Amino acid sequence: MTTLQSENCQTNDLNDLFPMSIESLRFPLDNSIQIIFTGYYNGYNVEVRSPEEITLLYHMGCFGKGSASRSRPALVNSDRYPEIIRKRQYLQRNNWYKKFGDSGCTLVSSTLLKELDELTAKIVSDGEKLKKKDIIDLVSSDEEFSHDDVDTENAVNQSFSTSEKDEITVVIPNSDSEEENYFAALKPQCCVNKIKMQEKLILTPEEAFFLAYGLGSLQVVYNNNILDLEQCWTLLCSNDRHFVDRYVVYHYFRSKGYVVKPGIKFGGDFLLYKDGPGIRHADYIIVIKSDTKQDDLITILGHVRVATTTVKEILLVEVLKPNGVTSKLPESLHLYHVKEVLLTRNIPMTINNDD
Amino acid sequence: MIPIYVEKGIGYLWNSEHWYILRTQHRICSAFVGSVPSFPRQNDFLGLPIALSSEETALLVEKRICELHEMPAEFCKYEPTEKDKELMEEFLKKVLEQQASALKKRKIEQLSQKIDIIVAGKKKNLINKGMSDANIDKDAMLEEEIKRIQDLDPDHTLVQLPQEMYRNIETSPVGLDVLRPNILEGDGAIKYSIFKDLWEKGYYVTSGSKFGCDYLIYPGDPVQFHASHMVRCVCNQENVFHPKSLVAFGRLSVAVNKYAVFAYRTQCARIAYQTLQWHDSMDS
Repeated sequence: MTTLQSENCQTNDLNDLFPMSIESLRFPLDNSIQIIFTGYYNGYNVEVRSPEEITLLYHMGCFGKGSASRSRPALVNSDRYPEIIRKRQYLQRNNWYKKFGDSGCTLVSSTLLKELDELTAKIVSDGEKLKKKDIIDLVSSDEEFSHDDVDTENAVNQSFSTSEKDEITVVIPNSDSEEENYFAALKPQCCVNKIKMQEKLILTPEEAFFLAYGLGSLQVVYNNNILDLEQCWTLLCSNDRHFVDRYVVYHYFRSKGYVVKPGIKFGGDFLLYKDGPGIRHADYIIVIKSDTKQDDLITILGHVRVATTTVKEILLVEVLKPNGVTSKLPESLHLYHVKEVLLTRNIPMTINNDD
Repeated sequence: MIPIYVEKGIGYLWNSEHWYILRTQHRICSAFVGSVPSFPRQNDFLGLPIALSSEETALLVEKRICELHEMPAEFCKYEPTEKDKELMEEFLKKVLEQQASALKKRKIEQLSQKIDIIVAGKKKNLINKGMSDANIDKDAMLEEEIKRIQDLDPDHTLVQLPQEMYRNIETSPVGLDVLRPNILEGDGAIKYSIFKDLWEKGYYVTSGSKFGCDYLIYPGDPVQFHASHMVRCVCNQENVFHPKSLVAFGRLSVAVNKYAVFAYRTQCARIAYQTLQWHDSMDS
């Protein structure tokens, strides 16, 4: 806990958040047998697919982010209860099903990436058309669903069968308008879910490599090949030229016992948590000093100001490279040094008034 | 023409009337850097002199509102001569005399107003002592009271600490190149052109360093309004933005309720602006 956080800050008990029944796990928990998880590299980050692996990875160290959740993967046991989704989500899934055909696909990530390309193409073409206009809306106007979707929804309602293969979901109306009688007018409908949204755990490249190299408990699969450490390192370095610096910082703070998560939502590189995201707020925002661009005072003051408004402190981190070492060998990582500078904002008036 | 005195690259102004003109007529809000004589030992309220940023100084010179002066080098090692000491003593004595006469005049006025009450009081006293019909002359009473007024003790006077130099000094005019940070070339020149453009649009422009930006824009005097926009100048258009600095800028603007604006110079040497806005929700 930093000096800024009051001691009355509510914390959640670790045991309440992750209730786990040990009988349901298929992995042996004997100390001598090491669990090796499997991650699939998709060009941007590493996905972990099996629900048991997801639960274990997130429970022991808060690695990764659920692909269909805000942070912690919320796994639904589909054998017992049907999934409850909102109407716009249901229409969106029907949209995808129409666009990408009858794959019944469980790998939604590839379709998502295709959608992303389509979206960027659309934004570029929109931008050229609306050059005169002042506002370019980065949210695509594709969000408005055509009304013929409603007809297909009715059609689907009438033709659903109760075979075990089809997944039944319960569709409830959107809750955008905060009406008082949302629950009174709630008319849930049973519909067939055409696309299975299987939740995956998304690991950032740094997390994945740390699990593989630092803890030795992940194997990375790319193009149906299992990669060894050097291949993995080369692959991850080739995609991001700042990967070495970021990984050194990640490894450094993980070794100190912090939980390190991505910090883009606070304008930094990483966030440091003492126990985990669901338990207490983050203590520090890590900002890695860039070796190419010189940091100017204004940007640093901006970071400090954001940190002040969110009750955190800025750790300015610099990675010192040893001389004459290429970035290709993960073995020479121990030669890198990390320098930390802690920045806080102290307002004399508040300090003096507290006496 | 209002003079601005430059020392070590920063322009200063000591005259309070000039400061007022600059603020109300020319929309230049500078920063106070001195201490207030009547309010010592605190840092929340600072007083004259004002320090002007290089952009503000350059703008005032360009618009022919001010001219830059530099104090002579020997001025730093100023030691008062005998003549100077005599002048100063005369000055202080004059101040004392003026205060004494003003105070006396005020006391006489007060007495004249209250003389009736005093006379009535004295009459009552005499009646109590048994002596009635004693004629008390009002004017004589007044004269007596006035004589009893004490002279002003020098220890109880106010001493004026002059803010501005009260003597005439030979100064030498200087150009814009002495200002630091430099506004004639490089990033400073781009920032200056952005400052000038914003000023010509009618805003009050001040420094935004405490918000992590270059300038803050006010629709009116900063004393009456909150800043509406925070402007960050993009000087080097080749550099790639780190996503995290974009996020920090956007997030900050939401937290302090201002528009986040990037300003840059286009190829045809005009200034263009780009606002960064947090998109409220995904579906409309």
